[in-house]
Amino acid sequence: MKTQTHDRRYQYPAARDPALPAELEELRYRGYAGGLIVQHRAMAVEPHPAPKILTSVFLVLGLLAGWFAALDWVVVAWAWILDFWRAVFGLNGYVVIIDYPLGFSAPYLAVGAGLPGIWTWIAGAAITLALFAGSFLIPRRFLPVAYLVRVIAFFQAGAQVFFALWPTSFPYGASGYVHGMLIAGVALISLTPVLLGLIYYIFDFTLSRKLGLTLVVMLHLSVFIPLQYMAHALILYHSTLLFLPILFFVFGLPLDILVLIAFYAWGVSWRSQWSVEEKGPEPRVFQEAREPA
Amino acid sequence: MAVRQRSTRISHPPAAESRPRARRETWYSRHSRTAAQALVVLQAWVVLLAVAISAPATEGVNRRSHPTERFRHVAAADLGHLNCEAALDEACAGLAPAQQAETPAGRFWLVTVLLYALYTVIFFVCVYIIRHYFFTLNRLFRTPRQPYVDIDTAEWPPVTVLIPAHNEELVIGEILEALVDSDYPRAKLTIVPINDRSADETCKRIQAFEAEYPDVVKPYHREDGKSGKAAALQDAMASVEADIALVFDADYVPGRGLVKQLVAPFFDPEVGAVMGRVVPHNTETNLLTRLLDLERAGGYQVDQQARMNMKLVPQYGGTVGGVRKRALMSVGGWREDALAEDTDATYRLLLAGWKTVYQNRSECYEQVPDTWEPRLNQIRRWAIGHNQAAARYARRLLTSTRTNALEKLDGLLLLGVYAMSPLLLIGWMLGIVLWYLGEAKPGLIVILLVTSYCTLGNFATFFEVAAAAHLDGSRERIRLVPFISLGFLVNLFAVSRATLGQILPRRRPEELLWHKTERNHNHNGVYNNNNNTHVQRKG
Repeated sequence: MKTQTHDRRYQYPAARDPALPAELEELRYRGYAGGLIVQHRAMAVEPHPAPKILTSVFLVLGLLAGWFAALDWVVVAWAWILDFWRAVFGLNGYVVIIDYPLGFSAPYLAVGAGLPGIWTWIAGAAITLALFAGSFLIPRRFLPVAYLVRVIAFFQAGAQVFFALWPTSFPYGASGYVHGMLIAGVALISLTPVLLGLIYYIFDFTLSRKLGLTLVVMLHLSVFIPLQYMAHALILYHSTLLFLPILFFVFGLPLDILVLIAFYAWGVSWRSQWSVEEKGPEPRVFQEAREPA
Repeated sequence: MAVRQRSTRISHPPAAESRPRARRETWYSRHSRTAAQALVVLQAWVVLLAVAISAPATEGVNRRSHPTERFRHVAAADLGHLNCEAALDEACAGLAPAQQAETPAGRFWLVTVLLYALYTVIFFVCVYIIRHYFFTLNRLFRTPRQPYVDIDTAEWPPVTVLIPAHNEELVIGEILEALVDSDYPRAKLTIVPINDRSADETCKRIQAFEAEYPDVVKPYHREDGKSGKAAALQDAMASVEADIALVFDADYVPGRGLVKQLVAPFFDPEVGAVMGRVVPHNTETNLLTRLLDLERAGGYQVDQQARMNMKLVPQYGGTVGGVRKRALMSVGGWREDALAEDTDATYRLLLAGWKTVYQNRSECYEQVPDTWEPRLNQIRRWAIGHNQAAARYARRLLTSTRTNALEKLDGLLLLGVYAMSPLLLIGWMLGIVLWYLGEAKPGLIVILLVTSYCTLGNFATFFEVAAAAHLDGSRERIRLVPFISLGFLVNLFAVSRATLGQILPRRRPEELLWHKTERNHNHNGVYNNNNNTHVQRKG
């Protein structure tokens, strides 16, 4: 006997008759074949948000307070991570922490990355052409991948043109870039509770789930971001500034945001407070529907 | 053309996951939860590992000291006065604007113009973000307004069901079978399959139904005339006697009670058009069909219902709906030169004071494209048609005396929805140019942050789709939401290309192409191995 999972909001809509005993109440929603008569999804609504707003506000404020209290340690941990991998990969340079007004600070990884020479430029051009041409060989069923590859080729082509025409005018260095992106990373993590407060806390999930998802996202980004930009620094160190634009536009913040979206989607897929496991016989009509003709 | 026929009668699909249904077990459905849990465990391990491997790097440091004392601290304000390592000098250049060389006047103006152009793009993006967000909040928490859905017993009026069909041999039988099984009073129902110059077996299939149900099925055969759905509908409309005409696409399968549900709103004399909800049936085919399912859910379960709740401008979508013939004819009938005849009709009815009603409860099951080529053609056609409507009706809507301010605002935003793709691309171009110019002020970083997530789609859109799937009870499908970014990427370029094609001068400006959505199989799984594409030329 298979079991089916149902959502309580479909099983017991708001029109429940309090005068009926629970057994009889349940019979109101039993179909002729033993299945549940469920509320149609066109009628489904979430429970009213008013009681959730206050807890959500406090949750956001609490998480922000906790984050900013821990920020000094996070910045130092990031500096540790950067310094450790800098030493492991043998990059010449050092790590300092730059302090900004209002007590904010961010690590600064000092590594050199030169301008591209002629052979690096040619190699970059060859890779760009290969990517662009290769995107047309990707089967049509993977069209989004082909588009993504063309976008990457487009950004790299822009860099190729810029470094061919105005190489000395390129306004960024590897160290300043990594530092700027770490600051942007701090900003993104700081925004996470606010963002989830707007688009996740209003759902009817338990407080522990809301807190859990937010902490998982912040924790993930806190580990991911320094490693991500350490990898960027490593690539720039060995391959020159020619690849900085592609790292910035494709593998920088968009990647971090995609991570956030992935976690968000996972969190929304969790069972909400209204959902309960209802175990019972699978209705005969659905068993019959599954059987081959 | 090899077509395998199955004689089994189609069983109407249940409403997605709000009801238990027969489902094909896939690797994803079996292991997605395990994979997600593994990801969490991995997070913990990554953290532990990072801490563990970073710890040795602190050798020689007094562990009892404050952790921030491990690294040298430099005040940002002092960076301009430091005379140390070259790398820090570089930082000074990036972080202390006062140290930079004076900006030439020409460059200053260029940057200013580009910045304000970018701010403009961001303003429009933010308007749509706010719109998505409020629509979703409204749909989530407000009881759905469906004033006509309870009408079950009435003196039902005569109704004609039109089904435009151009080479639809695979699917036409299914919709006709479903419609003759409808619970609408047989004496009041006329089903008119429009055989629009089909070159396959469509005509024979229709004739078979005509022979079996001569009192109900009365086909309309089109041998010549302009091509396209609007032209076919306009021709067939002349023979329609009933005042209410429902229109279904040939690949749709209506349930037994759908005709009654769609006719019920027409008891309200203000209603000019009705639209039902489109639910993809072939969602489990591949990633594309799953993404389209999410997209449709967001569009109908949230967008359309929120508009209905807020008495704004629900859109008549042309595939599961109907029009009051008198109303439509009074505003000129179906426009044959419109690629999106449904949007066109929506706005003409709106401007004439007729209401369009959306019925979320009235679901019809469609077969979404399962390969990218027809999807691209479909989205391009929608974009061109929508932009046509925007060019025709935006100004008239603004000056209309029959619409209130909110209807005007919503109507304009709906008309501009396909213009956002090229606008986003322009925003990206501006961002790139400014970035290469070195205008990486903190403000611009924020702008790039906004722009980057807007290009990926935006959080409000993800919120909308996730909310729709949540209301549908499709919990597992919500995990696919990040993949919508892939769909956005394709849409972004397809729509931009279509829009630019409209703006830029063409060799043959009078020519508009109607790309019929190709079908590879029907709802019963009968496949067609003919991969020809059908392009009809309009004009």
